Amino acid sequence: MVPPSGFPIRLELKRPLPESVDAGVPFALAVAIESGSGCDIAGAPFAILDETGATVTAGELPPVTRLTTDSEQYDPRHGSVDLRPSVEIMVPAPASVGSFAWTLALPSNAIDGIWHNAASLGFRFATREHLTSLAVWDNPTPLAVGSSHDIKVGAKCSAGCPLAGETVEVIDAEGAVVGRAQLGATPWPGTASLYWTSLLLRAPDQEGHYRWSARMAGPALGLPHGTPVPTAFSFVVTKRAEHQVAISVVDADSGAPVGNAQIRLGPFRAATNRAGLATIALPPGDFNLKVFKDNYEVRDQALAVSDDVNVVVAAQAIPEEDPYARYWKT
Amino acid sequence: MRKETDTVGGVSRRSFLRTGALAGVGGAAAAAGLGAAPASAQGSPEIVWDVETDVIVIGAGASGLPASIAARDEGAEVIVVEHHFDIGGIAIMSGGNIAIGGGNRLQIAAGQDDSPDQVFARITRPVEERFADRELTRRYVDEQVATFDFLEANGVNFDRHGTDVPREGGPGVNSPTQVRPHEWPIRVAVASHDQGRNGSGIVRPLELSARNKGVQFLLSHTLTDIYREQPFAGSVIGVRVEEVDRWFQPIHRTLNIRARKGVILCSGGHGHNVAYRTMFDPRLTEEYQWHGQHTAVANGIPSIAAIKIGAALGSTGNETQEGTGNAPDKGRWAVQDNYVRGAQTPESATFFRHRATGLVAAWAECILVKENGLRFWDETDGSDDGYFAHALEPTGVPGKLLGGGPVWAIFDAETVARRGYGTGYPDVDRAGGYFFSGETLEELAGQLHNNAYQLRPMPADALRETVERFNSFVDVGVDADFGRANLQFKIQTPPFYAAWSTPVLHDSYTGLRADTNCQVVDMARRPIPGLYVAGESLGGIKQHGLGRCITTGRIAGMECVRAS
Repeated sequence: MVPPSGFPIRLELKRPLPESVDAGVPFALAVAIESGSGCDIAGAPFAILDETGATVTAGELPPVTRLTTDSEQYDPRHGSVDLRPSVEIMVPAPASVGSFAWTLALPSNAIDGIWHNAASLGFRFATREHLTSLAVWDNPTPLAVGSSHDIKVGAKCSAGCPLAGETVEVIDAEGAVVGRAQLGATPWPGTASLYWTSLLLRAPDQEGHYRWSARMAGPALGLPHGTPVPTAFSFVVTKRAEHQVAISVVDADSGAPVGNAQIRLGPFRAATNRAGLATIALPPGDFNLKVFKDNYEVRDQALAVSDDVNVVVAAQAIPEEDPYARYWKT
Repeated sequence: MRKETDTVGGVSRRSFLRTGALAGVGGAAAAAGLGAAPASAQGSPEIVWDVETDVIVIGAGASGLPASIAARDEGAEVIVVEHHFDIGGIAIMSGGNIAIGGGNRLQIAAGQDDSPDQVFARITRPVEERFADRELTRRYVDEQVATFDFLEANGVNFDRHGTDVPREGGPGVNSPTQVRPHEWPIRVAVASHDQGRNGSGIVRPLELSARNKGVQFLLSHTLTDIYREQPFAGSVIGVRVEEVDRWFQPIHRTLNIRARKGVILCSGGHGHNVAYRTMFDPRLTEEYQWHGQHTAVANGIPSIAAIKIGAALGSTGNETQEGTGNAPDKGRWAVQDNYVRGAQTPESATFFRHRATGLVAAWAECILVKENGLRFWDETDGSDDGYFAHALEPTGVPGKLLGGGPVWAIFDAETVARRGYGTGYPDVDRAGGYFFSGETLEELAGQLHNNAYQLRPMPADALRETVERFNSFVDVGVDADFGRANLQFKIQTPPFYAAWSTPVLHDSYTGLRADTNCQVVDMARRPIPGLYVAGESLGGIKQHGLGRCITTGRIAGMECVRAS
């Protein structure tokens, strides 16, 4: 029996729930929790009840977070900060797509020997299908006609579902499947759940600028997944290279080599090494040589390639000598 | 009740009392706008003064410090009221280049030909500075050599760096003839630790000199009201200030300080006050951050307090003059105050407010998209006018017809590797919503609504199409949309990143109108007895930076005491 003199506990959502959450994936319920007694109610029992009153999950309240204006996490830059004590409870979302009205319930209970009344907080949320999206990288360009090359294709489920073994396909501009592979078991380095594979492709036999795409069927997993979002990638196909063009970039004033200068010859790209040198294999033809380097200015120059050739490019330094240099007339 | 011996910033503060007549005064600072009525208690005999002095200086930065010393040199008692818990204003974050010429000692030693007439000609050009107040500017240039001597006499050490050759300023901010002092040698007192913080070499020596001469500092207090004998007549007789916490939030303790000779407003610009700055340029909505906002809040409150007792604004055309107005900057990445030279490191005492150092932008290795996921300009273009005009164009957010919303730099893991970017603390501000990552572009776009100024989710399909289109431009070396020439790097390798790259505001080029003594004038151009202004709070001088602040601060300090 609940004594009438128990202390009240007040529960409120500390921050609004997102419009929808991934089906079948736990989400955080941040609850401002204030005890009329001032007791620390960490460890008090709680239950999450569904619309029928059935218990979805139950447990003990985690430690209460008490943010103060001296806390490192206190950050009023974008408005006032809610300093009420709070707890964060992980709620298991249903595995189906729909809308739900559940309740956080705290039964009456003795905390530190002091009786507290029961408290509850209703909350509504919706679940959604998981979104799978793709990426294509290590996609070389330009390619020689008819050459073969590897690209990488990865897929990511919004809920981080393991996609190892799922099949990805590459289709050309006409919709023909030109490559197919299964995602590997290990996520791409630097990611938590981008599952990926290498895929061998053959370049078309005609020169041109091509736009292909990668796609994937809906994952055959237990939770609901929407149709994965395909992604496009592009590349240029050229005639086969026949000549080596060696480009040396030097400082126009000192003659010193300029490293890490970015070089462009039509669709061909390269960067100079520490010695200021870059070598590019090119097909015969007329090119416009462009060089880019921070704090340097370089004029474009025409380059007709019909044999192996060495080119020296003079780069004019335009250093920024102080913070206000850009405001001076030069 | 506080004891008589309590001190704040070295100022003895008595227990403060409120009268009924003063109770209605307090809304000015909180409102941060012009709508609230001025205090009905102006000049009221009910005011209870907690502290008395001769001169009150509001702000301890590049104009407040010289103003306080100059006033003290004239024999006045001086209290400096500073919002921050330390002195220095934005100047302490500055590179320390002072545009001050006219034939100073360093120029003479270097054999440079310069004179006040030449400085005047350089900063009153008929096009670039057409809105300058030439009368005020003339006084300003005439005081520059004496102000240089004043700085040296008060401990500022210029010996090593010398001076630049006098030259005409460019079409942007005009800074002819610069001198630069040594950085302050005590590292923890420099306040900011990226390259070249020589501004510390100005404000720390001036602080030391001021304290040695007897100037008192009241830190962590902000001005809320200026008291005048009558609402729009008579002398300024004091101020009401309020204590603030380390986040500049008021903690509801006030002081009334009586000024027997005058009040000098040296509180910097107004760029952090959105309502105020949009009076001049309505596009500058809340998403545009303000350099120094976490060190010196340029909130315009002192100017508003002055307007409430009758002060006028001056030379407002300077503020919106094309290309030279509020001086937005393309900035750094991934940090809220993203001014290009405003990096702070964790050893700074204000880093808890900055939250991150930020990343040096790599314009040729990213695309810039607005809140709608679309590119809007050649990312590598340095022509500020076109870039900023387009960055500030609205994007179709329902109900938002002013301001362009956030600009995001989008790049990939290869850019991070090439540039050596850190993607966590202290380099980027993830928790504050100024840096995001995603394993696909869809996941990245889905994060951005966690930024306070991204008013709607970025459409993931728009971002993907933008990136795919840009990558196709890289294939062929031709940007069919914006004509960007430097197209070396695709954005393709996960994870993908979005870094805050929204234009950041820097200077204020208008402020209170003043006569040639830096005495504030009213709407009828009558001087307001006892009220002076300097630095970025002062309108009329179209020149960037420290020279304007220091020189006008010294003029105001001198003249405030001499006039009394």
